[in-house]
Amino acid sequence: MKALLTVDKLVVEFKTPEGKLRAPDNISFHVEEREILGIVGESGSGKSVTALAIMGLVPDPPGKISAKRIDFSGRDLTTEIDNIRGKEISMVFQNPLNSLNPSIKIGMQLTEVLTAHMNLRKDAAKEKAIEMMRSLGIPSPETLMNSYPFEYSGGMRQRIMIAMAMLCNPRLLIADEPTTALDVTIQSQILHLFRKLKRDFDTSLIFITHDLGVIAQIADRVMVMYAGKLVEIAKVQDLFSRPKHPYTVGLLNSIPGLVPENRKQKLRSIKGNVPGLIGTLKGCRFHPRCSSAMPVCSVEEPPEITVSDSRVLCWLYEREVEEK
Amino acid sequence: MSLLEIRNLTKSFPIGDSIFGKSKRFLKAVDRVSFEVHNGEVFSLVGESGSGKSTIARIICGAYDQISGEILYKGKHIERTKENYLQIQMVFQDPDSSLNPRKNVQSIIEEGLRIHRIGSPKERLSKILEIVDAVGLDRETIRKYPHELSGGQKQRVSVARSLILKPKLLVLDEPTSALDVSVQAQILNLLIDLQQQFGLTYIFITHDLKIVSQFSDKVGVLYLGSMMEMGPVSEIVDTPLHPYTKGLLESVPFPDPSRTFDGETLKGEIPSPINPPKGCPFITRCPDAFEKCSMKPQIVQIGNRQVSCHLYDRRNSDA
Repeated sequence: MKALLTVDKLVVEFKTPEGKLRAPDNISFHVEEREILGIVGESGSGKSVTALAIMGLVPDPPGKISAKRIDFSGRDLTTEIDNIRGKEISMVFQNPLNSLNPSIKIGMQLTEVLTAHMNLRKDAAKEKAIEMMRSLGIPSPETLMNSYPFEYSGGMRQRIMIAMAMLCNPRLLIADEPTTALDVTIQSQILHLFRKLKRDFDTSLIFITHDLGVIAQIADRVMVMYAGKLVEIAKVQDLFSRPKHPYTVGLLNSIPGLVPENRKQKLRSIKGNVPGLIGTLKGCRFHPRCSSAMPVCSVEEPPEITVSDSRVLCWLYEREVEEK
Repeated sequence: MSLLEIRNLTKSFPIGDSIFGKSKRFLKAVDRVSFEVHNGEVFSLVGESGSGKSTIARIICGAYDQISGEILYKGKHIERTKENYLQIQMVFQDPDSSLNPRKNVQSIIEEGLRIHRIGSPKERLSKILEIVDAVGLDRETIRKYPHELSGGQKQRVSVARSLILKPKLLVLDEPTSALDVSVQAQILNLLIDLQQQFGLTYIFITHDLKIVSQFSDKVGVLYLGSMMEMGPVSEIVDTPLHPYTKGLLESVPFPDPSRTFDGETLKGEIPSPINPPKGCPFITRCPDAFEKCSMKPQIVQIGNRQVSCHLYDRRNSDA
């Protein structure tokens, strides 16, 4: 399959009073056409900033984006994002209440997207917005057009945000923790909706979440981030059945389970805390918490190693490569 | 013997209070809920937003009055005595809002001892250090302020504060929801250790069925203020009876890509508690609803568990 988006050596550096910090720090990945790439990581891993950097929305100052290239089907996003954002790449955020204007009717907010990006006339835009909501299974879209965001529940507001993001038929949709604020039954409905988008609209998706359960249910490939670094990227089946990086293994072991064998058992958690990103932690950023750490891990950053279909940044796999 | 017994607990909040006279509309946050918690047990209350789980937690800790129903503690009507206050403690969800940012950790943990005039300052300090060790914090932490701590450390402080008075019953209201998954695992493990070390009984409020399954003995499933199903975790999670419990379990994103669920689980949304449906509260979303469901179902005992659903009415009359 063809790559739709290729991110090459992306760094976002923030200047803070305490010093400089980099998250994401030198990460490279791609998104294929009609693919859902999941990005998973804990708070401070840099997953949201990665999304904002692709969209060119990192506030500068304090942030500074640098990348060798961010390629979106032949065009360089670092220079051309202003013509692409909102039309060919759109984004859905975690909290729809912060994204929707509370004092403007939903209809106006939806049609604005079309009049701005597609030069549609108002009546045509209204028709298209209603049609989009209908195809996403939003009930009685006509009434909704004349209502305000507060009149709707969290799940419905998120559906509205998704409809808005899909209005210009984007080729890539970036969803940043789109179900985190929702109840589990509503989350399941929204995940269903995302799967439908991929099927019916041929849209590629970057899905950011901290929830490995959600990742397992939605993603085709998964990128795991830790403290600004990409630590592992693999097909979803491989990541869950044969996790390679010790951090990925630790994360998977930290999830409480529904299986009877685990009942009343302690979890094999990762010790310690995520390190601060400011300052100079030498070597692999995970080594202070890693149970398989070796002397080299605290000295030198691990290289990127390809093991079968996965890419992993960990010294443990270096030997395997040499042996081959 | 049951440590805590709740019988027909109901709590309504007035809404739209006018300046003149009393409000005529009420929101029923908890509707005739009954359950028992035994000594040394982990009892979970699980439900989505608006299910009434936090309201129940606060009622047990004495935060609300004007309730109807009975609360029995050690077999007697609970009284808001000093002794009971000491024996029932609470841990809140968000340590950023439950820890005073202007006090250091020592002062935060000490507060309960100070208020109840327990021990001399020297004795208090040794108690604090003992509890700080037990929750896995460094002793130096007691000089720090909340903003200097990570999320996991802050939640350990919350737990230490609630344990300093040597409670019997700990009410934990979503204690790990604000934490990252690796830190959540650490706190859950800590709670398991502390329970054994201090012989505690937990009432664990959560929306996460994965935690319930891993961590508790019994569970009550709440929906719109009513108990839908209650019993041992092994039965409720492995073979749910109530259609809501089934739907809730199907909605949990399972961390295994070979077990993807590509259907819509429960349709619709939780109705507003201001204007709840008549009869069974779940009637608007239930895939199995039939005519009888417009009447509120009775609680039916099936083996070790209780179900509030008309689907199981007949079994009861057969028995």
